Amino acid sequence: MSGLDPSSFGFDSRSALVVAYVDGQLLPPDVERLKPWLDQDSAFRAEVERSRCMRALISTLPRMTPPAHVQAYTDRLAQLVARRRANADQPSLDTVLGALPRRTAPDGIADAVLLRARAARASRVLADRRLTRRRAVMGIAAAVLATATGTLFSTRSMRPKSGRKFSFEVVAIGLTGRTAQEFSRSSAAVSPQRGGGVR
Amino acid sequence: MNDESDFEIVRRCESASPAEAEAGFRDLVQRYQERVFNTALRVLGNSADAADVTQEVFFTVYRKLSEFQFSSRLFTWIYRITVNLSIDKRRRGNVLPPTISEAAGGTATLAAIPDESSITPESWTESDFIEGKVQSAIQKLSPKLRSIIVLRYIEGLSYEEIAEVLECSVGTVKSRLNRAHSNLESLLRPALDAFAGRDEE
Repeated sequence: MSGLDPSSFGFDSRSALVVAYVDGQLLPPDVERLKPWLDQDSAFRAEVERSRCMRALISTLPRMTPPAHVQAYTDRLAQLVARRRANADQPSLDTVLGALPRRTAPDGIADAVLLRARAARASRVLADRRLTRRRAVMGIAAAVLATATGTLFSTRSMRPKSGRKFSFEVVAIGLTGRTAQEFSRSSAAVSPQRGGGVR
Repeated sequence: MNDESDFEIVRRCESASPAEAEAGFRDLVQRYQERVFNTALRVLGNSADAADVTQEVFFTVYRKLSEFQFSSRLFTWIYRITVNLSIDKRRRGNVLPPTISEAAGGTATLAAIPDESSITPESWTESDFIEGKVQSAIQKLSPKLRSIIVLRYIEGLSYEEIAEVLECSVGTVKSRLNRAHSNLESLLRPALDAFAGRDEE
């Protein structure tokens, strides 16, 4: 008896032939042709036996029943089927997705996310407040400066004091174009009791 | 597989009567729920993820049933959805560690199973050990080979039906099944030898 030729059975390898034989996929004439090899070729017989054992092992895996929550879920889907027919329009995807089990984040993670969002919001509020305060200070400063400038130009009581080379009056005289005497006279006319002037 | 009754179920699901449509969908679930769950269980390796996939499968069926035109058989269509969703879930990587069958009350993970050098013929009397070992070997196969093994040896589909589920040729099914056998044999070699030896005794 010459060597077993898998191609004569339509297979490209010996192992493929074994699998097909064990799986019952060979036609009856091919099974008959293979029987002599099973009787005489111990290596081939061992291969067939191993393949059978493996099938038997896999078939030991038990069949399981789906958990109860799967049944509850499919019940809800069946109700949605009925509602879709009754309403003649399909429920929104969100409604249907609501039936799916959700894996919620643990409390710690949810808290952390919430705290982070709050911190970001607080930071924005503080930044706004700082900007408002800065604008207010600048506004007040501008108002004070404007008031001071107005007072300076409108005063009649200021007089230069002896020994001072630089005074508000000197600045005012320079800005208004009045002479020192004119300024001095007008000041004396307003408050004669205080006396003095540019000496 | 009774194709005529599958056709009848689909017709009832698409009925204008709400009560009949609901009853039809319940029948469909009743008929395929266990098969879907077990297929997902063996592809994914744990019951929690298999339950998730089972729900996703029937949600997909709910959404797509009106588009189903019987270009393939209903059960092969449902198996296809199951296999694809299971492989997708596994590819996404958020799969829990595989567990030994809950039917046996086992909660141990496969990591707790002893290595092959400790296998003796006597040890095969432990059914949960065998299950764990076989399940572990199946999990080590590629998704395509794993699907073939599950559909063929656990669900009992024919080569033609598997080809329809996986949308490939029968020749491809044969070659993949052959590869799956080779890989499983190498993974389970000590166990197979022990198993065969025990049978001879």
